Amino acid sequence: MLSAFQIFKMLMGVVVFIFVIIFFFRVSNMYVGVEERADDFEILRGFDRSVRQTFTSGNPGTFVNFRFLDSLYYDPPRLKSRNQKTLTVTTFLIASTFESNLIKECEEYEWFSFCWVYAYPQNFTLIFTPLDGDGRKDLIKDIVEVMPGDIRFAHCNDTDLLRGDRNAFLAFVDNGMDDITYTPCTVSIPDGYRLVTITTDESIEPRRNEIVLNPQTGAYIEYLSGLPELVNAPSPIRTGSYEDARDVYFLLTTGKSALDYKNEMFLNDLTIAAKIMEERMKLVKRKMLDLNVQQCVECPTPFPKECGYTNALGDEFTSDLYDAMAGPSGSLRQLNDVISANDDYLTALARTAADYKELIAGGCE
Amino acid sequence: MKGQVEIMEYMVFVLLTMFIIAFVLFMIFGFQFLSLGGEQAGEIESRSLFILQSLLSSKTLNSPQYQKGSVLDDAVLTVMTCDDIVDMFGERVYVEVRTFLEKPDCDDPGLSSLERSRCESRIGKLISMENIQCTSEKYPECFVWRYQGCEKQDEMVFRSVPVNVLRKMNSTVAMGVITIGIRGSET
Repeated sequence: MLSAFQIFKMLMGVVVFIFVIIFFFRVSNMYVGVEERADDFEILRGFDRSVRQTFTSGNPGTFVNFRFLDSLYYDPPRLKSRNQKTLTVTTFLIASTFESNLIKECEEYEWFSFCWVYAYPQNFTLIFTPLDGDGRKDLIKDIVEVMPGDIRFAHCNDTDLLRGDRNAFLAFVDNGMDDITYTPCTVSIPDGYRLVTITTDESIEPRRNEIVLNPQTGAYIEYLSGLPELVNAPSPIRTGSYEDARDVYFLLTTGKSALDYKNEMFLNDLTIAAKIMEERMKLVKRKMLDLNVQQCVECPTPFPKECGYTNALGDEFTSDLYDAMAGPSGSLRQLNDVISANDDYLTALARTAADYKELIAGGCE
Repeated sequence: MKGQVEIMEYMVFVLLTMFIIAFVLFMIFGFQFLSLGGEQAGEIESRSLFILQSLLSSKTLNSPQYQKGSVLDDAVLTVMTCDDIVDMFGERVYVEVRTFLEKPDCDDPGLSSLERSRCESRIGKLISMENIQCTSEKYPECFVWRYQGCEKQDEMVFRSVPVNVLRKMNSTVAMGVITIGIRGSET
């Protein structure tokens, strides 16, 4: 016969057991979520750290931990994982979402430089299917030329896929490609590969990891990689236009948004540098005249009037660069507007770089 | 009576067990929070180093005479504003550059007391000159660059390193120190 105390102990035991089970279940659920997010964040932060190291040291690096993420999408400047963990990358970079090689690249303009870290997929293979269109061979050759050294190339005709290194592939493009009548590639394209279909037929809809280029109009149709909820676009298909093989290079490895971001950052940095430089030139010129300081060893040709006092480039050093970048209201134009309006700003930038080089050669700087 | 005591003992045992479980969980999460704090500190450290390196290697801020960088141009430092710093490195970043003047050695035993007194007075003047803040008007007779709007703030983490500064007007390179500060909440 059970005593009242024994019954109480049993009931109490059951209540405590249920309570403990619920408690552990909730805590473990929370903990798993936190752990997943923490893991994602740790991987993204590790990537950011690697990018910073490459940016500051200039030494190439690698990053392989993306394989531990289910999915990743680069929406500059943010990297997003499936668990919706987002990291704003502190350094400007052009990222691939694969295991990546990291290299630092710079554009130099004597008084201004713009650098970024370019993360491109390891063991990346470009597969070309040149269906039709004048200039397709030249386009392929141009693309191959601008690609980093360790990228591999292949061509695909229906189900035939032939790979080769850079030189073998270029030789094939020159000598063997014309003999083949290409039909669309039907081979499955895994991540780490990119299929480039070259055609004037703009009705072709690319599949995952495929991009369609029209060599005659410069139009492209790309398939956005990444999970739909991360891509945040109504359709994975996006169209646009490219200027040259360099644009295609970015499109193939990182996507259009990274290219746009790079251009935007370039314009942003150039604006700041141009403003600082112009102010600096004015200050130096004024003070040199005031203090009667002469620094030039010989008179630089672009500035005969200033000779003797120049290192001063004069008040107008970056003014035409500014004019080209500024809209009618004086506000800064978007890069695309600047480019589409004219190429004045690039001309002005090249001119300032050449002038500055003269000043350095003349001992004025 | 005995039954009541047993019930009390049992209750105490249950509570003690639950307390131990809660304590273990608290310790696990507590350690995680502690390590998170440590990681954040490391991240601030890493970010400040990154900003410093970016600043010292920036082509715009450095003199073109020194191709390898790390020689800041005093005229650029003078015309730069807090807005430029914000645009380049983000908000809540403090930057200060300070250069130093060469000072005479007043401890030389060969100096007379009058000479020593003059020497010390000269050092005093030099030290006060070293605190003159650079503006376009005072340039080049100034030795400190700070930026209005990018002042020191509480909870900033600071990092200082030696730096060379090109004194453009007399084409000399002065020794200086650059200090940057960033806020932890930025990471």
